[in-house]
Amino acid sequence: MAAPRSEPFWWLLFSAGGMLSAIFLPGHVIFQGIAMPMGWIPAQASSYARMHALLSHPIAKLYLFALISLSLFHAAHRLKHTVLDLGLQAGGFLAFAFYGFAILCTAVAGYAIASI
Amino acid sequence: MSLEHYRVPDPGYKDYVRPYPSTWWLRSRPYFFFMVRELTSVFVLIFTLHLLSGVIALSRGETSWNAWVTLASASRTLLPGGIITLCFVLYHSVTWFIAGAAVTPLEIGEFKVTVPMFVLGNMGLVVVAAAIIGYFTLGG
Repeated sequence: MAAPRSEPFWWLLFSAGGMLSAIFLPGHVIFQGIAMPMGWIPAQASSYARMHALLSHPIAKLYLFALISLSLFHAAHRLKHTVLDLGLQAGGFLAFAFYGFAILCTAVAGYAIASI
Repeated sequence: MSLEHYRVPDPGYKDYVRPYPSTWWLRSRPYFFFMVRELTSVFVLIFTLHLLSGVIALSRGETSWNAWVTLASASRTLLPGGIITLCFVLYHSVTWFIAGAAVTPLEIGEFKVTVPMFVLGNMGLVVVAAAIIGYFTLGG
């Protein structure tokens, strides 16, 4: 099956997101995914005032936006190909659904991060 | 002359795809681990959405942020998810760096960077990143 002509564009986002998530996601899973549910993060560390000040910094905003958006494009691209590999021959619909979801979440993330 | 001149014309019929069972990846060990690698994206997706929900909560003010913190902390129902997610995300990191070593073979003079060296070096970067994230999470 011939790859669509837009494939290099999506692959670029997939690749960038794969790199960012490979380097930064384990740390976030350890602290926000395990330490937080364990109750190891002191309350004042997650206070609104502190987190708001931390995420008001332009570098923190840029970092979170890039990490969230590109990780979602990475997952969208890989999931699309996984579903194709499992035998559902509906490339056009899958591309629309998965990339559409990543684009929507990017817009939501951009709006939320800009309004912090 | 642009590349457009070299485009393959539409043959007017769909490519034939030989039918295959959707369980093909259970047939051999390498296929199975390929599928595990591909399925790490499910965990990348879910966890990124968790982070996004926190960012949205923070942007909506103190009340919604506190609600998110209550939901995300000291919740023993989220903990198994976090541990499983860590396993898959680490598997993503290792396999990503193995692929990276294949894509960018490094040679420094006579010295060749082997795949284990490349992977370990990058995993060192993951540890440094985790330390920085911990520093800022705990109040740096």
